Amino acid sequence: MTQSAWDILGIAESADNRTIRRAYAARLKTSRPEDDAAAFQVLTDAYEWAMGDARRRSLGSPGKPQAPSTPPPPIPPAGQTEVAKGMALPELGRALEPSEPVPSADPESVPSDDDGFAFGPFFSALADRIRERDPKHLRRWLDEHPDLYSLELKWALMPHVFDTLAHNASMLDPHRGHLEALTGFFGVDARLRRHPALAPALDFLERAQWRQEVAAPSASSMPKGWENLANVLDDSRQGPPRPRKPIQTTWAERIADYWWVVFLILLTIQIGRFFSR
Amino acid sequence: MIVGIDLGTTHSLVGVYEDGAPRLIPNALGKLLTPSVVSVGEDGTVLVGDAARDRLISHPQASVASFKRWMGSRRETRLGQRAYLPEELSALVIRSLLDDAEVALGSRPQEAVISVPAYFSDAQRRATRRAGELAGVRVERLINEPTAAALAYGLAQKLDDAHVLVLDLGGGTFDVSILELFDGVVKVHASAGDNYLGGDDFTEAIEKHWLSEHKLRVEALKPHEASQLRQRAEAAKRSLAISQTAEVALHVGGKPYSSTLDESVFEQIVAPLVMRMRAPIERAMRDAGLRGGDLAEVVMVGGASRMQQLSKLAARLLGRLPLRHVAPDEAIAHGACVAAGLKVRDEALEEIILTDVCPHSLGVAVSMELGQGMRSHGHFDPIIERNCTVPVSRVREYFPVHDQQNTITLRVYQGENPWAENNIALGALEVPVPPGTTQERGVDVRFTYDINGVLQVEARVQKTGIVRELLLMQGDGGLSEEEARERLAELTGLKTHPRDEQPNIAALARAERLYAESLGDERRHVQGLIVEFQSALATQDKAFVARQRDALLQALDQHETRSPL
Repeated sequence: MTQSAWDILGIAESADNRTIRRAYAARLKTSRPEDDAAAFQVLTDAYEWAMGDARRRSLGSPGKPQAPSTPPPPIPPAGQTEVAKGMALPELGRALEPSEPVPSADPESVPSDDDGFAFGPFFSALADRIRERDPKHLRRWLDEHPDLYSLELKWALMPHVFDTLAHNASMLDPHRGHLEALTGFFGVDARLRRHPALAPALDFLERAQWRQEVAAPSASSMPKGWENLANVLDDSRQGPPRPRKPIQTTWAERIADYWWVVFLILLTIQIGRFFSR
Repeated sequence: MIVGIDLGTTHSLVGVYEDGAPRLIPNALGKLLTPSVVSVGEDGTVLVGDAARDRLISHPQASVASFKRWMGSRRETRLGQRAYLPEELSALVIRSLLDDAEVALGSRPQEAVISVPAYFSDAQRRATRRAGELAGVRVERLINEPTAAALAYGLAQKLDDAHVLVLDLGGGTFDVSILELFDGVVKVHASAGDNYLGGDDFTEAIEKHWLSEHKLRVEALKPHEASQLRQRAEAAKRSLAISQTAEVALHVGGKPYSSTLDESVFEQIVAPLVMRMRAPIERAMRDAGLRGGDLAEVVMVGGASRMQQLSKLAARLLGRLPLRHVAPDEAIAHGACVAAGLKVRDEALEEIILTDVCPHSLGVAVSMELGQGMRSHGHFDPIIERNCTVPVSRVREYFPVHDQQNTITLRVYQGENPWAENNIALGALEVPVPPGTTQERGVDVRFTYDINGVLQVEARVQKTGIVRELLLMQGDGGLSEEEARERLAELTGLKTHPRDEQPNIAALARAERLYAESLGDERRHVQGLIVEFQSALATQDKAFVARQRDALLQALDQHETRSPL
């Protein structure tokens, strides 16, 4: 039999923040972390869930994620798409949820002591760097960008940057290094990488660049195997990410999986040698 | 009796919790801060603290500092006749602290709570525990340093319903923690940090800059010159925290070199270090789900937090905030004492409950299917995500890759990188799986992490019920039990100076350092002072020696303020 979180905390369903915390604190006195690890975890899990629930309720969307924001148009003209400082992005983890309802991208919501931040010019500058400069320069530029020191702006910006980049990928041709500079700067780690607001754009961008890397060297005369590989990767762009299925293989198994890639590389080298002679 | 110990990179402190408040205990020289420096005399006597720190200059080969940075490694340091592991050097510092506590409390403490950087890894935590045991004390708990600081600060300020960000920049480590205080609960929401970023790195940056300015190479410096440079750079760093310029002057190979460092140059040379402090602050804020405005206070602790760079950075990242500088050197020790009080359920702390987090993600390596029989290997799949409240136990299900596969190897990692091999490998566990298709051969993998940072891995094969376990606290960094016992016996056998002689030893060590540092007339003057004090010591008249010692210290003070170096 499973108790509800409210039962565990001993409070009425949909209590507010303050009540939840008070109930948690009171019950902790009998389930101390150093005394009873199991009871403590049950209580803490209930508490975290109830707090999350209260937060979602205060946002006005009980339990349901809000609709994802519509992606911005390809390279927005300067000054048109304004990302306000402190703007809320629905559902980018609890980290990016505001603690109280904040109207989205409404210029009126810009705190008066902050200057608005124009996404358009920022993205154009970013695009120029992706086209013309190396990843190291890009990273330094991001690191030193004075506006991006503000955590709130940086986080609000992150999904827009990757989304807009995905929209313009064919034009900008970001390669692996540039993407790594961006994910590194924005602190995209294993956890954030899976987030629904980021994952589709990143999946797309990473697969696209992988395809380029594999296909580019032999674009003029693509051997048979390459086509297959390119198709596979093209397919995988569509639809949701495939379920991850574990696990563990030995080196021998890995090589066995890719023997034909190795074979083709060796073959290409041999053909190259033959012609260069 | 249980004590709280702050085992720092630069300084260490000890104290107790009594009468509803933490109380720090002074050392034999009457100081609360004991430098974490160990030196071995010509006769094999071990010196810890101020005397040892002075001997870094006069006897650089026989002295060592900043060994906390090597904790968890097997790096040995040769001092005199014996090579010491980092935890043994730490044990000598702890032993000296326990000596002080014994005098102050009337009996030798048997248990201790020791503080460690929040971002310390498993191996580093184990080494710290061993250090305590080698010093002859039972380590009841390791408490994270920023948690300790916030605990002491929050209780002293009676904060309620408040989120506090603690920035702890010590000599060798940088830690960021976010805590919430409500209704007697001190709840850590997130910790992040950099185990290899601290005040020492800022000092090193000044050294490097100074050397390149004078076109000198560090290899060209004699050991005592290198030690002196370290000290001058350290002094410059400290004075830059309160003034605009600082002078670094030094004789190298008998030739004087000198240059002035101003604020803007300093800012420039430490910019890469400041940049490294950004990521942990960002991550902690993100994990805690907070915005700058949600924070009631930003508390800065650790000696190096006196540098303006840290507060400037915090203000830039979080917007304008009330920054609190508490006694930066003592805050963590106070917290360790409170934690010791909590451990023994001191009456004054009855209503206080502390919950902490596991700062690292823990998981296994997995293979991911890309479609059409293609797979990508070596991905990191977290089971316990970082900043989970501990103790915690989580389970995830895994399947073999091939129908023919008959074992699954669970490789356990700690870290945040999506690629398993870029994280820290903690161990591996082999699990036999019965024949069948992949789908019906699932394995439940449970990770359990307790309040002391012990990770237990348990794999249960769903079909057969076979259970395999891996306890990652076992073994202790390559030391066999026998070896550990031997080392303990050896450490116990090391001689130290009797407590009442320590002020004399320290005074003499300081005089010797000044002798090593000065030249010409100054040097002869110091030599005269040393000879005079040694003859006073020979009389063995305690009152007379004490008077002579005060006179010597006064003369040395004068000497130091007069000397341009």
